[in-house]
Amino acid sequence: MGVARKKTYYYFILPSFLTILLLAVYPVFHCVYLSLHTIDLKLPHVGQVFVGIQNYRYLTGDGRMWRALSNTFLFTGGSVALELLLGLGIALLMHRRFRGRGLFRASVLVPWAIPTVVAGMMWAWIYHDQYGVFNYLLTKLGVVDGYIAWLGTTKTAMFSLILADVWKTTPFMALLLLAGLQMIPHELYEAAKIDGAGCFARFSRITLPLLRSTILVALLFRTMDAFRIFDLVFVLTHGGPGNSTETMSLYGYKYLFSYLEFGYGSALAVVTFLWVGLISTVYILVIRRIGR
Amino acid sequence: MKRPLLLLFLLGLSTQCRRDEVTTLTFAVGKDPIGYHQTLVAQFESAHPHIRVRLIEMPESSTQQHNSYVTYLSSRDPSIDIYSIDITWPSEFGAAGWLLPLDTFFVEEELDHFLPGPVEGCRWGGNLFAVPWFTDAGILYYRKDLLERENLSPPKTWKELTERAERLQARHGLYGFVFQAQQYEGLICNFLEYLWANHGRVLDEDGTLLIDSPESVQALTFMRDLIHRLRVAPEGVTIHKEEDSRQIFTEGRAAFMRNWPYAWALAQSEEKGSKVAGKVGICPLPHPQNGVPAACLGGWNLAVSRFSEHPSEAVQFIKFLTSYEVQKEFAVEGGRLPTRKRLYEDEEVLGECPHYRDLYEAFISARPRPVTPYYSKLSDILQIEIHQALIGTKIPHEALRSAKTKIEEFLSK
Repeated sequence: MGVARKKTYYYFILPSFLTILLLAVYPVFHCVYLSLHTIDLKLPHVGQVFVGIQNYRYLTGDGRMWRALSNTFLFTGGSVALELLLGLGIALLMHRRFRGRGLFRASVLVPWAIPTVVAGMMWAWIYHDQYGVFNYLLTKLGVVDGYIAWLGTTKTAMFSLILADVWKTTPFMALLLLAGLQMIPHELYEAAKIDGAGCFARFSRITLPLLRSTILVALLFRTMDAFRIFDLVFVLTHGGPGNSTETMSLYGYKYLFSYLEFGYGSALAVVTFLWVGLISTVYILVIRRIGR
Repeated sequence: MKRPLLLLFLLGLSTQCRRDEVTTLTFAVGKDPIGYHQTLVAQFESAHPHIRVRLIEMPESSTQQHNSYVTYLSSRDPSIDIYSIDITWPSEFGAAGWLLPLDTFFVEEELDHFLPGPVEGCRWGGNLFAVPWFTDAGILYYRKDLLERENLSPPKTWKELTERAERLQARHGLYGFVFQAQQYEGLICNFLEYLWANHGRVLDEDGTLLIDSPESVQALTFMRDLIHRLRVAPEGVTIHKEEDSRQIFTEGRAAFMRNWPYAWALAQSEEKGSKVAGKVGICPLPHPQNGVPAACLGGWNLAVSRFSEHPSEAVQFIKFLTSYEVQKEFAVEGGRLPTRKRLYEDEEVLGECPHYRDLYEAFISARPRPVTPYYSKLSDILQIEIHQALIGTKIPHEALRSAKTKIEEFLSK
């Protein structure tokens, strides 16, 4: 390859490289930089004081942070697991040939197309203790004998959040898995049928193994996304009741925007970032191993 | 030689153009359930043809509104000129250097016409950072018709409130009492009213925290008991904000409600869907037998952004909104309580709102929440702990002690 030609390649890469540098790399490093300082916007005369890792040291003893972290894991685990199960079911349905399949596929995507904040407002009404349709249906069905404040008790609030998130993002999961299903050669199923494999055997011996890497990629996307959950919690509970649904992003946000303490708030953001990084690394390593 | 002349000419031309140019002010203001902001803006625009005002409606929750404002102000965004700010923010925003001091535009003699509480809340470090626009204080709404039918007077003490609420709840198939106990700023207003009525305080003059005092524990225990022991309030109040309570009350599904004065006009208006128009009364909030009447001062204030490109027009707009005539109209038509004292004696105002006369004393003695730039953090910690006591995951004593420890921890940092 000629040197001149190589140079041309770099010119082509340069714009996107600069964009990524400006919009992704710089903010991350700036955030890390801020997290090593004490910055309180309420006290502008104090300015920005370098404190080293003091914010991180404080973080390890911050009970509210640990609670937020465990809430985040609970939310992520719960919602991603349910989304996988439901998403796989829906993907298998969408993959079959039947009348009205196009309409079905399109309608499944509707929740995904609604902005999260709007969906959050909608669910706030659905869960409302006085006017909520959720309570109405459950009392009609005889499941509960009185209206429940779903977002008002620690037992039900997290479950309600997970349910709302599952409704919203299962279509995304289903869509990714459908793409995986479509990659599986049809001949395999025909051959299996001839050999006398039942539908369960076909699913467990052909579909699942061949779908494994797609499932992992889908899980990677969803886990990263769920771990950063903010908007749904912000709209539905604002971290309540009794702070039992506060997540890492929401906690960091409160430090940044309510308390105006940018140093500690940035440290919280960096920790969230590191967790997301760790989780994705694990996924990627597993995916690579399967690929081999 | 020619060039400077040309420049001078162009400069002159541009100032000439400027004079005819229309200045557009942007006014950020919370959701108005009455919908009267637009009318006020139209009046101002017709009186000031060179100024246009763009309204930006902010979220109903003051916590969310605060966070939006911080986003604008911390990035020194000049796109909003005038902010309608909650009574707890002038100290915080003023200390951060985000607001224009208004002392030169509103001199002492002029401020003397305003209620003292709101003006105090607008000052920080010797500067006036906002001008009180309308005031607010928690009041008790009651179903006049039901109390009359039961031959009962409006409650003055906590005991009378709970007794009447229990009785009306049992006999008339509605909730006894509704208030705001979602984990948000409004919860603190509700809590402080019980606290102050019971002679309690958050901080004393020296800044010592008194939040875990016996008075404080009693106040929180009473609040919890309303929901869990006496069961006069539905369990759902722990997720209710103002509009949730208001809807329940105006649908005729609650006997008593703690709310701000804005609900009065809505409760009395059949067109706005009230089923209790003409059946509602208001009175100061009840207090313990040996307690004192107390109300939490709310209210919104007008501030000019330090980053505004049109500060003098912005001040003009604030002068207009806080003028005697406009406040009068806003009081009568919009149900907002004026901040000018003399309006409470104005015959025309009293003709429309006779209830202002009785409530004046409660409003003039309403207390501001702790005035400190750290208020949001203090409030946030209290919100979490108090909410835990109200949903029953902590006992009141534990919750308040834990709040004290956490507040002390950040104050000492």
